[in-house]
Amino acid sequence: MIKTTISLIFLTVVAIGQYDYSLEDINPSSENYGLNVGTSFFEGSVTVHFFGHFY
Amino acid sequence: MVDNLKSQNYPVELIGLGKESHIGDLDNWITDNDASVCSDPSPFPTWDVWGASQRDMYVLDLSGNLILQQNITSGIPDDLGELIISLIAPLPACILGEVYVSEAHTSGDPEDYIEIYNSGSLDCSLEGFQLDDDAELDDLTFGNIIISAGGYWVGYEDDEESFSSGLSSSGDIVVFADSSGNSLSVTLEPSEQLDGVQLSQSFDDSGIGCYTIPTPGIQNSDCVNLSVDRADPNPVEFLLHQNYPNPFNPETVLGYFLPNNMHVRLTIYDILGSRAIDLVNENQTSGYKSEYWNGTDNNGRQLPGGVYLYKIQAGNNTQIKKMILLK
Repeated sequence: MIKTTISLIFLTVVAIGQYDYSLEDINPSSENYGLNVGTSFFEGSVTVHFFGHFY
Repeated sequence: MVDNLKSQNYPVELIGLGKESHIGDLDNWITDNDASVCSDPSPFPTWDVWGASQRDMYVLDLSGNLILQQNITSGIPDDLGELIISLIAPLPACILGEVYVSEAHTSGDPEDYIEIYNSGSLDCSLEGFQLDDDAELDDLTFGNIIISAGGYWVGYEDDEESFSSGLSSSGDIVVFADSSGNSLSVTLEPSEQLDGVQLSQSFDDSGIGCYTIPTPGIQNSDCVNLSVDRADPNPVEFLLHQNYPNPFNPETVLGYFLPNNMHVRLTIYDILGSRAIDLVNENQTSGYKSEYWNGTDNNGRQLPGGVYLYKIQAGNNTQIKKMILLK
């Protein structure tokens, strides 16, 4: 039981970790301005991540 | 889109990510909205780990699982809002008894089919439900198949996401169970024909069945009384069924049955009357027939969404019905 629980926690961490980051929110209009945000920061919400232009 | 959902108190967050050296390209975001905006520093680990390209959109569910990765250079998916809402408030699980086996056909491979009907008032998910021709229930376990209120699921033997155990023409059972292991079963009597038509067997919510003319994906036809109808000098008539599913994307099934051997031409036209594709143009034997159409024309080109007509000419019979291709 303990092993199963640990495995589940590990898999969850790995699953979220693959699509996570912790970067500063630099939008002064955002309510999270100045905070480090990412997928896990918004845990409990559906998150939509948009990767913008880079050239 | 996301702002609109947030204003309705849906738990959804939008984050824009730019590469540090080009974060100015996201300036318009900072000006125009209150989403979080982040700058990924060189050597851009977030972009690399996520495998992102410019203008990629990732949608993650409440637990952080990746649900959708899509480049949106050509636009945001029309159904993004529906997708997000479905992740937040998934459809309820179907209730066994409200969904039940409503028809089964045992004409042999590969035309055996099983139909499930949702008699409830809500769309629901069949996820975790099971289907088999014995109590072991090791044939088909449904994924997140949505069956609309008053709608049908039809599975043909060996089709993708369908059952694979053939239904015996000498009699069989169909066992349908929910994710908790509660089950209902119906009994298939030996296969019968009437005037060359391989009959199906229809069932009510109590599992009481009778022989019927095949009607996959639509309301069951009246019971056939073999002892009476076999003595009826009037043969079973030609029938063209409404396509299933309808509306559809990417493909649909056009069903019909022939009381006799005859030449059949099945053609699809657009709403302006231009011929799109000839699906059938040949002599066929009597019985129930079904044809798939995937929304392409005679040259294999994908046709735009909209209303289409399908016309069948079978012997002296001609019928036309409408269907809707969704894009």
